[in-house]
Amino acid sequence: MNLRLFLILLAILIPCSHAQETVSEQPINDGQISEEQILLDGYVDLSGNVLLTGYATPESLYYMSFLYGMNYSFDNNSNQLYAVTDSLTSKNADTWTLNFSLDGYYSDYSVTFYLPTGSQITKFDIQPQLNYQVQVKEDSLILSVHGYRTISPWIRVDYKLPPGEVQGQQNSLITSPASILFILLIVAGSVFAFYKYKIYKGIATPQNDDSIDQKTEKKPETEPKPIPAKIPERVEIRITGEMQKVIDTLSDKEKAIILLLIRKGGSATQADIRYEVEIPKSSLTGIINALNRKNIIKKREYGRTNIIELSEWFLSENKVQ
Amino acid sequence: MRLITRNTILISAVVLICAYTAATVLAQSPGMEKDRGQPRYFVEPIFIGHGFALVGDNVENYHILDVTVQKTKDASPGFIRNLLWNKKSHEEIIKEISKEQISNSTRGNLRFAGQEYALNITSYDNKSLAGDVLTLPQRGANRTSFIPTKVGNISISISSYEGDILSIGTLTMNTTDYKVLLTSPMSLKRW
Repeated sequence: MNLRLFLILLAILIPCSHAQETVSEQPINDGQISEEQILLDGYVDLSGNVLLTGYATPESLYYMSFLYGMNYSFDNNSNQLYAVTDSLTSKNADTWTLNFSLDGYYSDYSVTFYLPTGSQITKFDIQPQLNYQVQVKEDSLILSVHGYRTISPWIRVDYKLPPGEVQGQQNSLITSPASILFILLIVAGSVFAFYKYKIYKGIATPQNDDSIDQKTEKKPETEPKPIPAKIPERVEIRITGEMQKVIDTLSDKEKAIILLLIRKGGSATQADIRYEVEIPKSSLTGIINALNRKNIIKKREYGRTNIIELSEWFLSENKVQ
Repeated sequence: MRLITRNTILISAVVLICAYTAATVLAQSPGMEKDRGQPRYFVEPIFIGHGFALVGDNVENYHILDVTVQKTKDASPGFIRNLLWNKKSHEEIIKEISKEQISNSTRGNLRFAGQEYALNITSYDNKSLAGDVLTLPQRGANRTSFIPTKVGNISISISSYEGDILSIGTLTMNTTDYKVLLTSPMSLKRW
């Protein structure tokens, strides 16, 4: 079954996607302490995303644990790093925390963070060997940190955004491509499920006759939409000689269906026929079509199933009111 | 009914799993490892040097001197934040930055005798560098309204010496002249 195959593929693919993260998270340690230099700028947006860009010696990347498992660019010729990450920031209530900690030894360390406009620093922890200044500009709160010959430098800044900016970051969850795709898929799934439900209820019309058989039927008066066909009134039918001649020409399964229809007063739903005659769904459709072609029965849509009636030609003058 | 209900639940589950997978893949991005592209310079070290400022010819009277000069793109933080806000990837951000005509500026830092200063670069090329030494506010102070004062200047020439980068020049701090002797990290070995 295609659905089962799809589920199996999904079951394989999902762990694979997580395996990729795991591989890239393996720590790299060559056992040597080297002298690194970083000159980086970090731009922080309202949702805590940071563009970290600038100069970094290649080995210094090994000490940037926040790069593990994420996509970034680094050019070995120019030593230029471009990384977008949200792992440098965290949020607790209305307070954001920017945490930029590195291992390693840095002969030159210069990092400038541009916090969102109007940010208010509530707490500042920084390695004592590092020098820093804060500068308020029109479009940023600039935090400049620099130092020489420093080991495992760390910066931790707690800041609050202006109240008006908090609403914006909530919107970002809705505007992200992943979120949009997710929402679209959920909506599509819901619509599909609703459609299936309606088909089951007999409101929508299926395109495939094979999908119409059900063992239970809902009464049309309970449905919000009117159903054009009506179940005919039950009448007593006596088998005449002419009718018997016709019946004798039929196969056993065809006979069973016709006799059932006669017992039921001339009509029955396809679902009822399937239930009572115990003919497989796929066979029943073919038999009914064959009887229809022979003009022995008539088939009319009735919600999600069909009403099967003995034809006027077959009944001719055999009805007894 | 049970058949249809089961199918509906199954299909809904599949849709949810698909959505989760797509969201996860999109959020993590396919690369998962570093991209060896050719991003343009954003921060370029012009000069990095560590060494000494010697008083005259007296080798017993000296101060430790560190100099860092970098050329940086003056990208508007609002412009960058807008790119982040629109969930641009780092590759897209590189392209956007490349498209923009963003000017560069130089900024420098100097530490002399354990004291930090700003360095206002007046000229530089591959073989020389000159600038004014300016005061900085105290550690942790707000720099917004701080007016720096010029307290000296530095002038150095950069050359290759015994396989390393060596810079020799003069530093004047508060009317006192020093001879400067600096070496640079191997990562800057391009002079």
